[in-house]
Amino acid sequence: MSAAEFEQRLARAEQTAERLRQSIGTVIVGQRAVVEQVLLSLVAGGHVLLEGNPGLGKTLLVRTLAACLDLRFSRIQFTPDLMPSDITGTNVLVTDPRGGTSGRFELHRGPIFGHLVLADEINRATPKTQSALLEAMQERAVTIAGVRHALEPPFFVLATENPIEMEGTYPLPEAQLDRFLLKVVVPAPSESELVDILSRTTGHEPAAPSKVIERETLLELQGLCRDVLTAEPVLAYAARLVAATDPEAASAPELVRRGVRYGAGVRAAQSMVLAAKAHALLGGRPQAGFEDVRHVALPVLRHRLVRSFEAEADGLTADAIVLEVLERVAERPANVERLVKEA
Amino acid sequence: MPANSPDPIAFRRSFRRWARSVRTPLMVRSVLAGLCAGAGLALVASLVGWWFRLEGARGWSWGVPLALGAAAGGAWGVLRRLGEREVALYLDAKLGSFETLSTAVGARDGSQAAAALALQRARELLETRSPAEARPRVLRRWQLGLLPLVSALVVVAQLPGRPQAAEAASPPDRALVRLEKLTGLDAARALGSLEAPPEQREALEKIAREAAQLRRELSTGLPRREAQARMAKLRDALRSERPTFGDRESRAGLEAAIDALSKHAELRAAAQALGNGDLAAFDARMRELSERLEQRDREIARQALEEAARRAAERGAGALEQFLREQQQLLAEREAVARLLRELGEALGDELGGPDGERLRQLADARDVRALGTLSEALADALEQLSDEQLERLAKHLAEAARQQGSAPQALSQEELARMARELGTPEGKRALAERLRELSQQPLGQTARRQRALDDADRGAAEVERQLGVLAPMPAGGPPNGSQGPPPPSGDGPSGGGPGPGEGGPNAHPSGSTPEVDGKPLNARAPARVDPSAPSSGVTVGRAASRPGETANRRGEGALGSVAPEELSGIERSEVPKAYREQVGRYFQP
Repeated sequence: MSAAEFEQRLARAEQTAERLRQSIGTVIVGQRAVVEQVLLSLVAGGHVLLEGNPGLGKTLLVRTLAACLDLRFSRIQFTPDLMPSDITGTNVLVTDPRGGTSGRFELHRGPIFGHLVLADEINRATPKTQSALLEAMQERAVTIAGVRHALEPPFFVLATENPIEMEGTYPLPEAQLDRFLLKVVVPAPSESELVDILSRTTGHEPAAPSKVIERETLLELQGLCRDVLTAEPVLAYAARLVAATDPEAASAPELVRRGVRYGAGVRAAQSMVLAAKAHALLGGRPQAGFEDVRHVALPVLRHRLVRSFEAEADGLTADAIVLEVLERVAERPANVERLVKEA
Repeated sequence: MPANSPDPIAFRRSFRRWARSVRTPLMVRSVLAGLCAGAGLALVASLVGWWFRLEGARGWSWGVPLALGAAAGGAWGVLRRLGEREVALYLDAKLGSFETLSTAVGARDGSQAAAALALQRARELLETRSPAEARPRVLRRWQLGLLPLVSALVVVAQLPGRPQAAEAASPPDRALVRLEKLTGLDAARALGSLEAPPEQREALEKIAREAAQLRRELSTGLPRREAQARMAKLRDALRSERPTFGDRESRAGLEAAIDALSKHAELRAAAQALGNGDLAAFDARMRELSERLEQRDREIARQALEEAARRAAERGAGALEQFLREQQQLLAEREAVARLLRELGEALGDELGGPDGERLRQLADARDVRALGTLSEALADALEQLSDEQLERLAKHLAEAARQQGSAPQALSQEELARMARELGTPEGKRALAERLRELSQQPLGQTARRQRALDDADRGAAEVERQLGVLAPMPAGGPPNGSQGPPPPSGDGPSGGGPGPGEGGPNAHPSGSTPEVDGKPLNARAPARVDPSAPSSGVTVGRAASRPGETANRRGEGALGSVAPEELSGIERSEVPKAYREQVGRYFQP
């Protein structure tokens, strides 16, 4: 592929992303950052954990996204009595039409076999059930009755969490949270957005969004994302950011030392770079830069920091800690930074 | 090649150009920073050179620090030279290019197509933008101080040299004084070998040692105050060892002795000398009497000495009595020498005959005692002219003289005479006799007089040293160097003309002119002024009290001395004392 072809592909990717935004925007009011981050994750080939209060359109967003993409969509409503086989599927004894059984089993695939899987209120299911989903997220395959079944790409899980009703739930362990590329916090709509929402939803049913991206296009986008370049200093910056979240590190700010029990790991740095590439791709750039890393640092790191008891007692959020890290860690070496800042 | 082609070489070329546009100003900035530092150093060096009057430093102080500073700045710039990635990062930030250049310079991932596109876009960026957009500033605000620094350098270079600071005068007492080849202390050093009574020998040796020590230290350098103090103590020691008979205890005896001597006209000069405390003059006077031709003169002297010694002993003047007895002994010895010389003169004159013999006889018969010296020389010369026969007769004469030696003091002992008689016939014997004859004519002073003279010489020498040290030393106790004598001795009538003041019981004492007794133990007082008992004393008692170094000896008399004539402190100017004494005393009373 030549540079010109690549540039064309970049342009197409940028245009595709714009069409997707617009298509989603016909259903989803506002939430631009949420949509952007979901798109980033989609292009980067990662999974998203959506957190927000009920009624903010999390499920609608995923449904809309599924409608825009020519992908198999499945929804899993996690409940405490949900079983792993409810997610992965199971072998079922086939019945003979003439009566009785045929003596053979047939695989009934579970909702996990979709391309776009919505895992609603994932924290309500038991850890055992959660692990079935998370295994699929990591391995991109499920094992049913000892038989491994690969999941057809693209495989994209959008999980949701309700931060209000935490009683009787099973919060995801840190090791499993790490498998989500981004954690997107869905904010409440503004007043004008709320007005728009009311206008759209209390009238006639809005038209279904048109399909924008085919499966092959999405796969191409995901491949293109991996082609995006990352300069050495940008990789170093991502590494410094992740390292600064370790309370034992010399470069860790005071807030990290005080508020973090365990910092982000290697998967966080990988996710950060992938997300930064996706961001650069959606911006029509062949390389990821500092700006891209900074843009994705918060959704990448916020669910990967284990706060200390002191931070929880003081109400110090993970977001505040990540913002502090972004403030303290310089993008460039000190001598270049000084030179850049000269008036 | 089209601008949109991913040509790595073209990109590198453009990038190097841009890199130069970044690095060059930074290098110039480093050199300027070095120059500023060098100018600062040069200014400090110039100021230091100007302050400490190092004119040479002011000259080169410009160039070296400036050059060093520029070199150091350049070296620092080279060390801190931005690498390619740093230049790319800087340019990306300045141009807002989303790390396009950084990616083109070095990316470790991605596809080749992406790398080619990044390279292409980087080249486009460099060729469509101007390096001026990203060129770093050369001058920083603080580097603007270079101009004032250089101006200050020019100003300092033009400054006139600092005037030499006046040497801070060190306290006079701290200043070192160095006197080499001090001859003034030679006499004091010689006191250690002076013949002296056992009780005084140790003191004299101590004085000699101190004089020698002072001489050594003054030759290498000694604080002036310390030198003056030690000289003052040395002079005090010399004065305390000087034989004098006029203190309170022996004053009466002295006056009685003077009175005994003064009865005879021939001895008045000697009495005056004794009254002045000049024992050497007294000795000389007595020697003259002992050598007189007339027996009567010699007898008078002997009797007068006897009476004087007796009267001194009666009044408790033991030291004076001892001195007078010594003079008696000397009188007899000198008399014997004179007699021997005259006898030999007669004998040899008869032997020689002729004009030489006649000359000898005339010398032998001369009344002038100074002829004895000429006689002894003539006798020594005449020995050479004697024939063997004449020598033999002379030998017999000497042998006869030896036999006739009685208990009276003789110039030559019996053994000496006899030996000379035996050896006269040999050339060595003749020479020995000639030498002995010459020696006999040069009799030294008596022991006491000799000691006093030695101490006076030492005191004069010490006074000279004190003058060299800047001390206005009082007149030496032995009198001024010109040897002027004091006023004549009291004649027994009219006002006293000088000498020791009339004391208690003195024959010339006048009640209205006497002074209360003064405890003058630490004082050496002299009052040579003419005293008029009918008027307040116009003389002044010279008081030289022991004082601490650096202090003047000006002491208003304490006790009785202070009440004697305090209003007369300035009377010294109106007194008739000798001018030299007046000046000495006057300096004591100056602040």
